[in-house]
Amino acid sequence: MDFAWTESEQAYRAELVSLLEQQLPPDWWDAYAYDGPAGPELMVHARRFNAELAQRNLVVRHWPRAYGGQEASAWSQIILSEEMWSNGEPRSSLYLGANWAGPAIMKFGTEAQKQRYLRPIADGKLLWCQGFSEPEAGTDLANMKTRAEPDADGYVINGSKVWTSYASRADIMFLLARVGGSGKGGVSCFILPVNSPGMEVRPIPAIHSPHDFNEVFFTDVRVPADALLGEPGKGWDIVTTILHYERIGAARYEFSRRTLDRVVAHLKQRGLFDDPTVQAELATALAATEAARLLTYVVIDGRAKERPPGPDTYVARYAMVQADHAVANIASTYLSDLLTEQGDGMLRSHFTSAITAGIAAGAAEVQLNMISGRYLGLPRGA
Amino acid sequence: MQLAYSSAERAFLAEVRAFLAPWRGLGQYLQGRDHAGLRAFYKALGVKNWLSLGWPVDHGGRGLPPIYEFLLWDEMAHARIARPPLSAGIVAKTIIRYGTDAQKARWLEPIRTGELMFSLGYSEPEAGSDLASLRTRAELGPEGYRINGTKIWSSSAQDSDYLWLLCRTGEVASRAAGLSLLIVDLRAPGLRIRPMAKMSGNVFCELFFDDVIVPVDQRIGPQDGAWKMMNASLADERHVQFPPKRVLADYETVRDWAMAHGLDRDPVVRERLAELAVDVLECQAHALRVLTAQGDDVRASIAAAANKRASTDTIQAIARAAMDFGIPAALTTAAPIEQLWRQTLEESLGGGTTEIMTSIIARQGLGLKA
Amino acid sequence: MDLELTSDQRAIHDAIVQMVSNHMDVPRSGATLKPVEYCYADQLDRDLAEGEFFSLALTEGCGALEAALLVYETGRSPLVLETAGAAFIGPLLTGRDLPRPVAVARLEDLTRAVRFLDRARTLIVDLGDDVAVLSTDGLAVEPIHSMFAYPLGRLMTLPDFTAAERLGAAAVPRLRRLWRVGLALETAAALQAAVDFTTAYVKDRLVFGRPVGSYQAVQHRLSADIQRVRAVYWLALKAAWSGGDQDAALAALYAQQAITPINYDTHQFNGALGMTLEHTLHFWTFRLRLLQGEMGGARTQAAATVAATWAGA
Repeated sequence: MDFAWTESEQAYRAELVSLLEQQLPPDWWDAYAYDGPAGPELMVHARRFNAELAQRNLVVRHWPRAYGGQEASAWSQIILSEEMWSNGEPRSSLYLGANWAGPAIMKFGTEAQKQRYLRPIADGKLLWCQGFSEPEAGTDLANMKTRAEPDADGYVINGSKVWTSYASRADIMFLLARVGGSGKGGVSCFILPVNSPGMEVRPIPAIHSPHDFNEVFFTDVRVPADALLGEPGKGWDIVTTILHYERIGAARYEFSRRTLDRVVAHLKQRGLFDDPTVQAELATALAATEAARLLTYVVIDGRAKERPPGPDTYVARYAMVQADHAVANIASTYLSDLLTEQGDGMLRSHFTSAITAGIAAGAAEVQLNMISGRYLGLPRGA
Repeated sequence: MQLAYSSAERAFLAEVRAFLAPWRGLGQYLQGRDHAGLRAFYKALGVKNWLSLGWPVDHGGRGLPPIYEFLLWDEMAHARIARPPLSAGIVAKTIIRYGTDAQKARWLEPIRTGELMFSLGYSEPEAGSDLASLRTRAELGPEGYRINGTKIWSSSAQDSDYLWLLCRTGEVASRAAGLSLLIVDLRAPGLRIRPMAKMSGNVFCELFFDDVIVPVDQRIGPQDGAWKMMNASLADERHVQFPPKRVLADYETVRDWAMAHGLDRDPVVRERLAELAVDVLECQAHALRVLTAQGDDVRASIAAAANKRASTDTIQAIARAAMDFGIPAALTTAAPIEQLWRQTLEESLGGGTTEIMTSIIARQGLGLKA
Repeated sequence: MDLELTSDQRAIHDAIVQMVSNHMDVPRSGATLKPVEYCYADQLDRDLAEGEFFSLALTEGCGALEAALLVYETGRSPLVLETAGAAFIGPLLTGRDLPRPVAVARLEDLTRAVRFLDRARTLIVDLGDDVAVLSTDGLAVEPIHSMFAYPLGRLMTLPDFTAAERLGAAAVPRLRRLWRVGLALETAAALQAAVDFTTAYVKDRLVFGRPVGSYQAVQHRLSADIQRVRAVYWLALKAAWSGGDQDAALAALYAQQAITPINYDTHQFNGALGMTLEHTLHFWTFRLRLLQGEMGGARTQAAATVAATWAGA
């Protein structure tokens, strides 16, 4: 057992740190990243930033060489995620493509699909969005209703998606739609441009951000047959794979950890730091971020050794939510004025991200269900 | 709206305090071990006619509203003297409501005077929270009911006179509809009592019934009709189930202990004590809501569930807080804090678990479906 | 980074687990009503000593991590055995094996209550500005009885520390680091054991016609608990590996804070049966209750965490 980073991992992190220092403007948090990775200024900036990353071969380092990667370990992927997420995710939704859409295409796509999408992902050119949740199917994804009817040339899609982050400024969507069937049977995966005729994106202002949520309507959207990934009606296996990677995709604990440092700096400046009650809360929050970090590393360790995904993922994800909330609670208790528009962009971004932490990427309660079934082996309820 | 006791209530409270003064050392509220002392005390209450404060006048009672019983037992809880006896509460009130004239004549007077002690025979090893699944059987034959089965958690069976037994007279599948209430002589042949130790230091008993015979006239109410009577008796006792001054007494113990160790100068300790003081007041508010909801069964049931939940959460938090202050002296057997903690552990289980209380609040109070 | 045991570590781990599993039975208080305060694992102690497991920390090719495995695995038994002081803190602090059991205490707690003191042969004392290591021979130790499933003792009078072996001021932070890690390991073990025991119970026990463990309200609490338990385990191992101030304080802090919810949940889910002394649960939960206050409790670990993390301006 060894908890140390290798020299090459340390060098990789140093490279990322210096790149971020060069590429992110001095008012990064207050003018770009305050509104999260779906914020409009950040998404515009991401196109420049992603080109820089691609030039240095840093977008898909963990991919196989055949697809432009360097077969870097799962550890290097989490280092990338830690550095990006804790800086407000300057790649914006590029990471969806690098983390799971690309790997899903590698695993389930045709040769033509690989040719078409993998290079542009590696080149940092595609900002993704995911069309999963629906008004009647959020946590219970298998209940989705959006339909893709086969016709002579391909499929005709009708229905709607909701809570779709990035949709208003993304290039491409990874869509779940139903080709017949019910429940998990019939679910199919499609890849289509966001500006396809018949698609309409409407922003939904939300408590955490005016720019994150969108509703997406599909009215007779025609897609060619090769927009389908994998077999029609057999997309649930793809979904399961994707969700597994998505749950740990973002190294949220690192953002919480660095936000906590910023909170401490403010508290010191205001003379609140020496209060033992405040210190107890700070230490407790730090313990939560470091617990989430180690539980995530347990998952990464399994991934690095190419073990099949296990229930540790849910344990880690639940711990991350606890850590996000612990840090956000301190900020809102002692520094609430800094969460306003005149405040500190980093604290704002973290606070709003923590609001959705227990809901996005599988509600915390779903994680608990998975832990109880798959980790503890408790019997199913009535 | 007036949040104050009436002058009559205040006068009664003063009388209670004066009466209790010489009994303050009895100390049988948390650990009811001194049964001779308890019997003497209950008899003294009988002389005052205070075991029958809420009984109707024509049954030997005082016919007073529930607040009088509340004031009495709340004060008792504060002084840690004793809990209300099962006999004068559930047993007597059920007999008054459902008993025959002969049963009233036989049982009420010795209960009123504090002569008879009852123990509760509800739970079984395989039926705790889910009483409708209990299996102890009573078969009706020519000599009366023949009882076979096992009961558990009867706290003072070894020192009581009679058992208030809930048993199955119908089929198991009939669940709640096949249960009856019997009064069983604890010295009846075939009844074996095995005491066991609990973490709290209290003793409870397992009761084994091997062809124990109970005369038919010791069945209260109709055969198979126990469920409705049990629910009615629970409703009768809600206002004394968890008196808020029990919570206050725990708080005062911890506060005084912290002061005695000089911890009250520590800002973290002060803050925690202040938070707990607020929780104690919240428990008092819950208890008063139970009182004012008497007569409205749903409201009273919700208020009682909230009171039980809040009170047990609070006393556990109080005991834990003292241990969290990090003074190992809190932990040794003789320390009041350690005893308090062990005692409070079981309060969130007995008398309806916290989970059951939470379900009542969710279903009846919030209207959530099961 | 590699979070799996090496093959050597695996072999050591498996050998310890095998020995511990031979010593899991505890006598019951039964009808005598005389509570069993604790059961000391004397035979396990002898078996482990014979295999030189108490010396793992100082064995060539082994170290703190291997000793940590010993503390963790022995801590899962309902029987109690002093390993944190004898196999982890003592050897790593002094560089030698000490007569065991080894009790570790702050000066101010010596006359109050100290874990293992009534059996200990060595006493390590945090004097605040120095560390003293002394034999308990000739010390006036009074046993203390409690329900906390540990042997406890206190000193009737304070010894003459000037005559004792002193390790110097620099040993104080070292002792506290090691002590915190040992505390976190012991806590991780008892927490895991209590949750495992409870998980098994709720799978079998029926209520309202269903296993207790099939209710989502129960499932979610136990699932959140296992997350806490795994976190304590990994924080403790990381701290044993790194030996850093921050890691040690974090592990002890998270560990002590995990005790309240897990003690509550495990007792709620074991119901009244868990309240009886015939059930095994209390051997872990009562130990945990004592561990929760060790070294001044979570607030002290929190202060240490803050000092180790944000001390600068």
